[in-house]
Amino acid sequence: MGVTWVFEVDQTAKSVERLLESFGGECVSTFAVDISPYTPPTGNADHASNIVMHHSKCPQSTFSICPKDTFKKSPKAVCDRGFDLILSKLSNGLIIDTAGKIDINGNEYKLNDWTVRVGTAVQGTAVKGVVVEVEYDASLIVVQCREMMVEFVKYVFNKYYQTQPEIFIITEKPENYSPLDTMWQYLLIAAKLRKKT
Amino acid sequence: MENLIDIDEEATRPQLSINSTPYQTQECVLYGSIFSKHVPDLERRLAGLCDPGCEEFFEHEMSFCLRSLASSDVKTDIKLRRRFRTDHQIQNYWQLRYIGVPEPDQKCPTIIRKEISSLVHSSDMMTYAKALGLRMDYEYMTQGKLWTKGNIKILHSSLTKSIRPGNYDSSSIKSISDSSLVEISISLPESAEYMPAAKTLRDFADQLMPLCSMEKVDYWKKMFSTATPARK
Repeated sequence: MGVTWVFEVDQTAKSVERLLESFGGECVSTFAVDISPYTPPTGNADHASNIVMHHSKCPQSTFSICPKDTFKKSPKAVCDRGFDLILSKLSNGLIIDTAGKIDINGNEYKLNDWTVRVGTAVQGTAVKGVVVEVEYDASLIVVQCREMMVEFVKYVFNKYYQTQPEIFIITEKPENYSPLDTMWQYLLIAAKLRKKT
Repeated sequence: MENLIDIDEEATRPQLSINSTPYQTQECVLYGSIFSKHVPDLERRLAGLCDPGCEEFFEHEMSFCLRSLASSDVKTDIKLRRRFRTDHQIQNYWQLRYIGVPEPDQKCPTIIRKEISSLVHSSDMMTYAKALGLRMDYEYMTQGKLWTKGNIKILHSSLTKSIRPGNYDSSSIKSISDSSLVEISISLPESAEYMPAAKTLRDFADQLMPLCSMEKVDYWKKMFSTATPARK
């Protein structure tokens, strides 16, 4: 997984797809992301909630983050799918919040070295918005491709490029980009979408 | 050769649904112990019985339980296991393992229990485990060897603990007893019939006599009987 930028757009998935096609993008497959919060049963607030996520790009992996203020401070882990089964055994402490689950489904476009995923976020039966994931496949180092990604988004969409993800802004001790960084962006977007009516 | 064929079959097997993942298995287990000074005799016996070659291991195991206020009598045990660094490639990888309550089957000659395991990578596993609501019960280090005989796993290991928790260098590791723990087990698919495998395991275990007597240890009963006076 290369450096990825996930953001919400205020247009329909169809119009983003048309836009990508006009730049020579090719629809290669579909993708799916799900974000499920696991929360402690009511009245037991001695540990925080845990967000469990899956991405069709890593079908055998489960991403789990207990969100704190920043990504660095949040306890997080990448597990295999056996973790989902273990979580069900922890139901005394963490219960899946089915109503808060967000599914993002859509199409995956290939545009030279870029992979762009356009998906519609759905919570239960309500459509919450459209999410775009721009991935630069060729690099794992954020500082190396940050400027180019901003330029790409500016060139294709001519907006959205001003609000950059946390990982683009941090400059001290940059670490290699990992899929967990992508999932953190999804987590933040899902938290925002849940509040939206 | 047989093993090679098995691997090929596994690769062509259709994708499993979430309910029958390879992560969830049931296992037949027997436990025994042997004085550490007699372990070389046991190794010679195993070398004669088992598949050629064995694997040495040095692992750190921690047992966690779920901290919950609502139901303090229901205990969920989770085991975390990591291999001590043999090369730094495998740092920060942990095996997260849930071990179920043994089946109350009197006729079965071995312990039968459900098991779910998952490989977890986290840069700070302790903080992560705490965030899940898990609290550490106890920890220990195991060092020993793993042998196989078909699908039977034979482990013998000496248990050590650290006198200064958090430090796992050789100066702070102390032996727990002068005996070694012997564990033999078979893993089966989740809903498979376990009786034939349990009998095979029992037969194999009997071949370790008189060096080591393998038993169906009622460890859960013992656990409860010591837990009751402690609660008073």
